[in-house]
Amino acid sequence: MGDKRSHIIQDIPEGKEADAEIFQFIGIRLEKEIYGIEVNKVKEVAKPFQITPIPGTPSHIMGLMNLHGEILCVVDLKVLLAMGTAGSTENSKIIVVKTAEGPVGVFCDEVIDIFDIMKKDLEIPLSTLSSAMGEYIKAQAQTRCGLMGILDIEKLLYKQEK
Amino acid sequence: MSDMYWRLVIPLAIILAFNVALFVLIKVKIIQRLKLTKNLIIVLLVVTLVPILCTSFAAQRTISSATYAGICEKLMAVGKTRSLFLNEKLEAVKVDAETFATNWIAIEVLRRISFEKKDRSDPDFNALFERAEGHFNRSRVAKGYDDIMLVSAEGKIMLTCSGHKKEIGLDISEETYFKTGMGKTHFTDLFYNKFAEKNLIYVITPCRDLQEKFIGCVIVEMDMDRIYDMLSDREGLGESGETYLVNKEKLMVSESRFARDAILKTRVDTFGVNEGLLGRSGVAVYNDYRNFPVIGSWHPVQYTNWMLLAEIDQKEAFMPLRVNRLNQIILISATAVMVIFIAVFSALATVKPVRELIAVARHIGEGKLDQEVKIQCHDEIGVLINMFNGMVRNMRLLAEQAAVISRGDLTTSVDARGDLASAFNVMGDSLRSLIRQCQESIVRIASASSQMMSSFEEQSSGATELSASVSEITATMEELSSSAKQVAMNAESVAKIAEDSEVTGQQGMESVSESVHIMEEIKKVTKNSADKILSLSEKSQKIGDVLGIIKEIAGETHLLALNASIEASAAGEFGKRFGVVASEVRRLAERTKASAEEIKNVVSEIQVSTNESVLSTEQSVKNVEKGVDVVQKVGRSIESILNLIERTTDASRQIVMATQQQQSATAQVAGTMREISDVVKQTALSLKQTTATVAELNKMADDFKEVVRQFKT
Repeated sequence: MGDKRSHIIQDIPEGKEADAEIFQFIGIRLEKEIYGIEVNKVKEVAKPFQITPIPGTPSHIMGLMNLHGEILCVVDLKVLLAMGTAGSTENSKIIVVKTAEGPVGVFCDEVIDIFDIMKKDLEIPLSTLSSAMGEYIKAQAQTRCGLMGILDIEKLLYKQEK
Repeated sequence: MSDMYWRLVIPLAIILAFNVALFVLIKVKIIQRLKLTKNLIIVLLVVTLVPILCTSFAAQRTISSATYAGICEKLMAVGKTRSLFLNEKLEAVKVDAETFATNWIAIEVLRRISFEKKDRSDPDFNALFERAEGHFNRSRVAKGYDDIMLVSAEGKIMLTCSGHKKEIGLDISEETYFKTGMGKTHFTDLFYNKFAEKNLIYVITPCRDLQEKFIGCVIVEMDMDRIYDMLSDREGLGESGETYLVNKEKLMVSESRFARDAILKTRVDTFGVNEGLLGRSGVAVYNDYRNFPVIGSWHPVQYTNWMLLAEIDQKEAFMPLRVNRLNQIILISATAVMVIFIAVFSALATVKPVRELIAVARHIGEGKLDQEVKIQCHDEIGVLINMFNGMVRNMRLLAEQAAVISRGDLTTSVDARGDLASAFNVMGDSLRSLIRQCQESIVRIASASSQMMSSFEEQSSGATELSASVSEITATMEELSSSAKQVAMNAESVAKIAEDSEVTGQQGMESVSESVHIMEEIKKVTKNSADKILSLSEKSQKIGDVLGIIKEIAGETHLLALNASIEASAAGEFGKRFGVVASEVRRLAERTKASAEEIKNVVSEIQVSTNESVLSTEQSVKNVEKGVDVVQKVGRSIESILNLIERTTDASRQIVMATQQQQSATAQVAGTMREISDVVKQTALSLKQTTATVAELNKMADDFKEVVRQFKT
């Protein structure tokens, strides 16, 4: 499991100062669990607006949405994480994630907050997590709202694309 | 004609009227209502005195007018004669004066004085003057004048004869009589001459020369002595007759018989003087200067403005008339007295036997038959007296027979004629048979009365028993009456209690209606609060809406803040500060959201509780309605209780009334029973009395038998 941590730490400078370095994560809620996405990978947060389903696409593709004149593909994270399908609520939000192939919309039940977490507080995820999911959780951290799993969002998205 | 009327027609009419009146009085029998004496007196007086009075009245009138005419004639004659004499006398004076004025010596003297202005210093003129003086003095003495004077044309007295030397030279040119006398002969009025010292009149006449020139005047002074002698002659004028003169100032010129020293002093303003001043002569009756009624004549006198009045007192003139009237009164009175005497005498002569008859008849009327009229007359009244005496005798016989019958002797009969006597005899027979019948009847009465007595005694004992039983009934009725009174009292108290309950029930009724009212009030208030709660619920709903908006805005803000944070993070070191702000905003939005959520929860709690309250209010409204129903039910039952009470009151009242009626009826029965008891008692008493009476009757029948036995039949 140490390689995973080092995977994250790859991007982070070593040393005491590096321990005090602060990372920012957007905390989102799926069902009752909290997941975090690195802020620097997020372009913006938007409200879901007329998601047009596209026939013949995989189940995790919810459809297309017009955001500021650009066509955005919206992905259902719950399907990806095998947590059933997303139900639209009033708190539902779409996180626009910057990927190498352009922005992708991630549908979540609620955006909780942006958490500032120091490097030393990042923990190796527990092995109790399902093995299927475990590979997409880079780390975990305690927040005021509970335990937050930090997603490896690119891997998750790429996995699907593969 | 009028005289004729007074003397004949009126007396005749009066006599006729009186006689007709008398006739009528006799005819309608008014005069017969008086007694005989008065009757006769009235008739005789009317028949004798009325004609005598009428005749004397007529005679009196004739004599009176004749006397008046005679006196007037006499006065006119005397007055005329004397005025003629006076006129002649004055005419003579005038002629004398004019003669003196045409005497040559007077002309000569005056001519020389007036034209030649001579005076007595001239010897020739002095001689002439003395001659003239002598001439005129002689003439004066001869004619009896007081004086003769010559007056010059300037009005100076030049010559006098009477020796009044003081008069010579006196200027009279301003005197009225001189001015008038310059033209023609003028008579002055009587005046007092201070030189002669007596009353005189002047006769002044103008003197002219041969050329008809005025040269002076001659004045003759005359006193009135001779005229007075003539006037004071009283021949034919009686005791109060007189003649006198009055001048135009209405002053007396001559002496009067009744006024001494009257000349030019006494004023005479009488009807005669006023008529005489108009220049006429006449005669009339008027009041003279002494204010005595007189008959007088008046005559104007020539030259002077005098008039001569001849007057005689009315009293004296009409003296014979009064004497005549007195004579007549005496004669008529004597006649009346005689007539009354004769009437009374003849009436008494007629009336005396009638009075005797009346006295005896009064005695007989009183039942005394022992008198007879003893006066003997031969006229109709005498016949009446004889018949009356016979009648009285007949009555006396009948009275004697009645006395015999009254003694119980029915065996005799009266032997007089007439219906009364025969009726008397028939009566005797009837009485005889009656007595016999009576005797038989008495025997029968006696037996009947003893039977009655026994039956009455039986009745009496029955009545006593009846009385006892009636008393018992009365006592029972009185007990009944008192018990009915008790019942009535009880019923009255029941009625009283029922009335009190009614009052209380009505109060309860009022309370019920008040409760209903209050319930309604509660219902209204509760509904009101339910409405308010509903509106509160609506408002909280609205708050919820607003909260939704707030929440949305907070969400948007959160999103914006997130994006801002992302942008800040993207900006790296430069965006750090902005990131802090964005995170603060985000926190704020979150807090807002949380608060909104909290408020929403509270609001929804409020909504829940308001809904609950609405429900509970509705429940309470229902409960209040139920309460109203219950109270109304209570009211209805109180009402029915009231009705029952009312009926109870009515029933108890009826009981009271019925018991009262019963009581009064019982009392009436008791009263009636008492009356019956009284009646029974009275009946018993009267039965006893009747029994006694019947016993008496029995005894009386025995007595009667004894009495009847006394009659001889």
